[in-house]
This record gives sequence, structure tokens and C-alpha cells, in this order.
Amino acid sequence: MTLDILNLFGEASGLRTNLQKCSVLPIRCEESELEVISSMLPCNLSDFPCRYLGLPLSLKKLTKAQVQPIIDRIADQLPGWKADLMTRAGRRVQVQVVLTGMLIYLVMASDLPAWAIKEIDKIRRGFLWRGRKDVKGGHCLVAWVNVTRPFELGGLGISDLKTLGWALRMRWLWLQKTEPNRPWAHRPIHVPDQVRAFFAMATISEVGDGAHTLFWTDRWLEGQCIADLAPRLFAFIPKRRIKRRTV
Amino acid sequence: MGVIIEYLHLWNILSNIHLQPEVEDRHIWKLASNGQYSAKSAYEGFFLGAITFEPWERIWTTWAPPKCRFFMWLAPHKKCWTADRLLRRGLPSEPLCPFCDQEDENIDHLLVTCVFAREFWFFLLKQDNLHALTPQPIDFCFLNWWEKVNNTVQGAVRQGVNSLIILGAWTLWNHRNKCV
Repeated sequence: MTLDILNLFGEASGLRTNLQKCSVLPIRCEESELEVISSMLPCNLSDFPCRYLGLPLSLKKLTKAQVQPIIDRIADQLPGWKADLMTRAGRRVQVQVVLTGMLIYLVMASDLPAWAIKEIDKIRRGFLWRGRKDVKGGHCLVAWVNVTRPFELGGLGISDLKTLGWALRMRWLWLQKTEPNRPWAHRPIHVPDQVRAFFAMATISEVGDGAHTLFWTDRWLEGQCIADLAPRLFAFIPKRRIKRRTV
Repeated sequence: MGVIIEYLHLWNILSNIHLQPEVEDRHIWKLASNGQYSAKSAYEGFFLGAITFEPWERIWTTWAPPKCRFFMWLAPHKKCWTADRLLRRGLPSEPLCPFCDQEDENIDHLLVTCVFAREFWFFLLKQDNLHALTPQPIDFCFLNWWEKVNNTVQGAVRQGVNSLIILGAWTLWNHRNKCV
């Protein structure tokens, strides 16, 4: 059945499926079902975690072994660059545009663990100040927290990875609110509490028919939300109703 | 008791609100002028309320080459390896300024208060008839002097003078490094 659909699609669009490059990922399957699948689809059977659309896809939290290749990929960039021939200003651009740019797609989707951010910062810092991976405190003239600030605030305009990830992932909250027709829109989105709080502060709603505005927590009464206007009353409302009830 | 007051208050507000069934709800992102979310505005939002680095515009929007601007970014942070900083770390260095051999060397002295630097600025700025802006003996701090100069001139001249100051400071610093 699946094979027929893939073949049909291949005939119609010219995009034929190479089964050798495909793999089957069973989700909650019995042993007997697996046999049926492997007889019908001649692909190799694999399991989570896997790569999907270039991103690590896992049912659980990413393990160290899964994140390490990402860090290695960044570190692998450095040897090919003629760091000694570049000024620090040139290396600054390289750090921001290439080393940080490589990560944007990833941090938009998943939360990098703190240790990974630390490792990546070590590479970025080392390349900026010295043009190599290993660097000592004395080589770094300005503390990294001050480097990773916008120009206006006395930094070098290099993005802070944690904040960058927060800002990028806020996009999902925004899309959930503004485009409720997306198939995933009703599912919970996992972001840190700070991101959720920041998003709530930064968004106000103008009510029309009230179908897509949450009654209790969205800021729809002249930029204020009912949870702030009537905090003691809000404390009595059940959690489920807070999440569901629209205006 | 308080709950009932809040409830009545809320009732009061909500009784004035009428839904418009044919209009869709609109959500507005407050951090961007067009009301649409962007990652840039969100990222900048996390820095709201932080202290502005006053000379950032003078440094980063001039015509000076990037490496000079990078030096100019280090200087106000007082992160150049001048004698005062080297000595504080117990590194071997001559404490006196290599230009005048009279005063202790630090970044403000090198760029502004040193007699050699003042003379250098005078000749540099004289070429454009701006020698009135030369640092005076009352100017102790490079940044304060630069801010004063920046406020004295306008428009395209300001851009030019700021570039000139960055290049001048870069030249002074390089010259100092050759002397040591």
C-alpha cells in the first residue's frame, strides 16, 4: 500500500523513492506487525533517535552523544580558515555569520543543553581572539558576556546562543496564536517559562469575534489581561479552563 | 470579600464590551512597529532596559576600516595592553609613556593628555581647519573629549571627523607599539 503510493507519486512527479536510502521507524508496533512491514517495504528497520530534516529527532531528551556531532561540525570549520591572516574584525564577522549562522536552524527547533552552548562558546571565543580552538583567559581581552551583546550595548554584535534560541523559538508561540489552522497549533509547545512570560508581555490582542483569544490570560482588555486585573479571582479558576476558555 | 469586589469590577468592564462576530481576532506584537513577530525584535527585546554604550554609533557607523573600529571598541573598554594594565598583572614593562617620558602610561594619556598626542591631533585636525577641536589640557578622558567634538560638528562633517579620530587614535596606538 505505502509502496504503491510512493510509486504513484514517483510516476506523477518524477521524484522516485530510493528504498535503499529509506528506513522504517516503527512507533508502538508489535513483533508480528514488524514482520509484515519488512516483507512489504524492503528498507532497513531503524529506531529513534534519528535525523529528520537535518535535525536530531528523539523521543527523549537529546543525549550527549547526539549533540556532540553538532559541536564537532562547528569545530571542523576552523582548520580550513587562514585565521592568522585575518584581523580580529574579520574573525568577528566569521564568528557571527558562519559559526553562529550554522546553528540558527538547529536552535530554532530544539533546545541546546547548557553544556553544549558552553562548548560552542569556547570555540567561538577561541576563534575570535586567537584564531584557534584552545584559548586561555589572558588572550581574551573582553569578557564573553560583554562580547555577545548588540553593538548599541557595548558588544560586538555576536549573538548570545541562549537568548537567540529563545527569540527564535518564540516564533512557534506566535504562529500558534496567529495561525490556529496549522495542524500542530492545538498541541502544547515546550519552551522555557521565561519565553512564555516574555511572549505574553510582548503580545496584545484586539478582540473581534473572540474565537482565538484566551479569556483569562491573553492581554485583550486595552493591553491588559484578566489574570492581572483580578488576580484573586483568577486564583479560583481551574487550570484546564484557563487554557481553553476563549472570549 | 476581595474576590467579590474583583468579580463585580470585572463585570463592570466586560458589560461594556461587545463582540463583533464577523471580525477575526488580531494579535499584535508590541516590539515591532508593524505588529508582526520577528526573531530580531524578539532578540533585541531580551536586552530591553540595558545600559546603552554611548559611543557605539560613533564607532560602528564611521568610514574607518573594521580593524580600526575594533581597536576603537577596545579602547573605551580600557582593554588595550598599556603599561598600567601590564604592571598591574606583574608583567615587565616601562611605566612611563614612550612619547613624553614624563607621565605614567594609560590609554587616556596616550590618546589625549600626552603632549605628543595633543600636538599630533593639532596637526591632524589643522589640515581640515578643525584645529579648534584639539584636546585641551582640561581634557582628561578620551571618550569625554570625543563626545565633545562629536557634539560640536554636524552632518557629514561629523561622520568625517569621527572617522578621522578613529584613524588618528589607531595611528597613535600603532606608533606607540613601535616605540616600545
